[in-house]
Amino acid sequence: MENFKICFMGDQSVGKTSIINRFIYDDFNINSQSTVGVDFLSKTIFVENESVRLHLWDTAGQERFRCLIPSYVRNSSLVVIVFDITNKTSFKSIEFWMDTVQNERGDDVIVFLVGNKTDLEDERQVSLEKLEKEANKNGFLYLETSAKTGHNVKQLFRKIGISILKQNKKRKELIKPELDENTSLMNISLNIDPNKLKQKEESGCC
Amino acid sequence: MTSSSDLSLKASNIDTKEEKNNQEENLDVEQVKKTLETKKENLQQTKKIKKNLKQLKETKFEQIDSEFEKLILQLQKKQKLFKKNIARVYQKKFTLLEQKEKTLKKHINILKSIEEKTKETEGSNVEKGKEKEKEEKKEKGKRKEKRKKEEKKEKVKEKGKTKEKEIKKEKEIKKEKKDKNGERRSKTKKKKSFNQQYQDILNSKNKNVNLTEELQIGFEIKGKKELVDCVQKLSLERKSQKGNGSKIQFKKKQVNFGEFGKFDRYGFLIDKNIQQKEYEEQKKKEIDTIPKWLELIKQWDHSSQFNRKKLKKMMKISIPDCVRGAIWERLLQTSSKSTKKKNHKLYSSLLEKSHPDENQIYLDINRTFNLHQNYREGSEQLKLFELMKRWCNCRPDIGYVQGMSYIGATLLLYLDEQTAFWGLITIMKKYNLEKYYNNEFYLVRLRNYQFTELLKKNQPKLSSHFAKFSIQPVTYSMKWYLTLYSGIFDFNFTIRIWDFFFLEGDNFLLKMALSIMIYFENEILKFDFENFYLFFNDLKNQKIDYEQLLKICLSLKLKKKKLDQLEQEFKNGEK
Repeated sequence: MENFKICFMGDQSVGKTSIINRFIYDDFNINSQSTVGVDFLSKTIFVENESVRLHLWDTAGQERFRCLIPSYVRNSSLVVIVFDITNKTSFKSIEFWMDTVQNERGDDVIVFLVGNKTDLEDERQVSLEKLEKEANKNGFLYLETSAKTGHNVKQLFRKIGISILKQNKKRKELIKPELDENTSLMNISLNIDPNKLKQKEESGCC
Repeated sequence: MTSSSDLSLKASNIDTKEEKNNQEENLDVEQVKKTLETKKENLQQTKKIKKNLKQLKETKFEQIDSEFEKLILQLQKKQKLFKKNIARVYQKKFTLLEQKEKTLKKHINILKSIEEKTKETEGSNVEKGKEKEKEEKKEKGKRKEKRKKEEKKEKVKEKGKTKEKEIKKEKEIKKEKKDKNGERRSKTKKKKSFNQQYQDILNSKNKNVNLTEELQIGFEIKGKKELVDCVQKLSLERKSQKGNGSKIQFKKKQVNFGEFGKFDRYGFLIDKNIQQKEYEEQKKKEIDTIPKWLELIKQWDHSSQFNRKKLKKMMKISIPDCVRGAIWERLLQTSSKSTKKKNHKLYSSLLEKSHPDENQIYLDINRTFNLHQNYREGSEQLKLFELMKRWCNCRPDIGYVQGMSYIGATLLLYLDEQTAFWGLITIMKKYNLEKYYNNEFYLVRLRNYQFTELLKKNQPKLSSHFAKFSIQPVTYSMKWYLTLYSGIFDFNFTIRIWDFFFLEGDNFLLKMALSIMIYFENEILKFDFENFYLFFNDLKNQKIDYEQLLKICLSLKLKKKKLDQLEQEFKNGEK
């Protein structure tokens, strides 16, 4: 099974940690603590008859921590930029996050724009059309979610899985000789505690 | 005729008689006169005697008076001398007593806060009552003794007053100590009362929420402008209500109260993973060591120095939680700062300006220790908000960085607002924490470099394992340094790290990072990339022998030369 690194970024308290928690534990914890530095979680999903293991990196949202983003993005397969649909400024700073990602990786990485908190429809400040425009301009994927209600969260990770597999196949076809080295690095022999493995694989989605 | 002659005779007889009578009368008058004269003389004599007596008396009184005066003068002289001597002796004692008074006040505050925290003891009222009676008897005896002493020294009134105060305080402290003993004995009763109290707390909280609905401000409000307005409104309301005790609350969140719905000894909602039995045992151990700590604090305040070795030795057993605040205060040397007038002015002026990081602080307040009973309430959250805002205005160049709120929150659990602020300043400045936050986390990056290099040299197995999976410290150690290990381990152990951090300085943080790796060496060598991170992101729920971990950490010795050399290398590499 191949591992893929996915990096979550975006302004403070837009719901990065909440989306991940909804995905991993199918739970919305109002008591979530603010993220300092970076957190790590992982889960296996089954997409198109293949199982994919996702390594999710949850980064801190405050501007001050953006200097660390390059070291987190370095070998990510996909970057999820989250914003809050009830907060215009968080949408505006997408540009900044994109710049930091592209400075490090160029166009080498898949970017997913996610507008979170659709449960607060009354307070919406960013329309779906705007998000669509912004995504299409850069060729990014996009989706609106609600970590609180669980709306579109499974969908989001399914799409992530599909696009990662696609890109992986493309790569394999394009650069076969280089790949052998890469896979040998990626497929690390696992000495995992069987109990832990069970826990992780219990809740595959889709 | 005879009759007439007879009569005349008779008459003459009578005359003679009358003459005789007259003569006799005359004689009598003379006699009376004589007697009167003698009486007069006697009277005069008595008067004279009386006069003489009076004179005698007066002279004698004068004599006595003069003697008295002499005696009094002599006494006064003696008194003056005595006073001088006593004043010398007691001035010394008085200053000592003043110092003691201060420390005792602090202890009482601390103990009161503990009492509030551990309301469990209320369940054991009956036992307390008995104990109080015993105490009073004892104290009466003590009072008598002390009064005797005081009567002797009445002239030094001030001294007496302070002594009385001291006695009162000693009494209070003794009472509180005994209360704790009572608490131990009444474990069985405690459980019931705790549940009741918990429900009471819940009810009271709900009431508060209803009362202050209008003032509630929560996460629903979005957008910077509204947020800023809210914060300003909050601080205004706070100012106007200072006298009555603020009723303003941050929005109370609906919270799942967990499996047990109780708070542990540190005030955190009980998590099933935390071993409450261990906490109870630890509590017992701590109670026995309290007198020792109080003695240490007394000596510390007396000589304004402390025995580092002795303190460290006692810390290894652990600081009792009720004394922790006092020890931190002394290690951080906040008391001298907060009392200075200049600093006090500065302190009170720091809330006036607004700071751009206010929004961030506001967002984080609700996400900091929200499983702690204090930070579920508006008033405590407001304190934390103000503390962080004060810091921002004190050092606008650094401002608020995520992670600071954890430090502020922990400080506020043990110190009052002002002391916590000066404590924070000391931690930032003297303990270099500002360098961890500032300049793109310079010191975190340096420590990470030192960490990997030291590991390479001393733990080659671990080092090569990390290299194999390209596990870099930047991906896990950020929050270790930035929050001073808050939320990484049980709170119980985190504050012990803080104890040693305050004693040894910020190198202790690096030591702790290294010793975590050494402690888990066997496990780490089995882990691949993923398992390593899953394990280290959830250290709180791993089985850890904290004593052993601390032992490893305290046995590590970092040489300053080596660290400096590595720092130079790091700097050169950056260029």
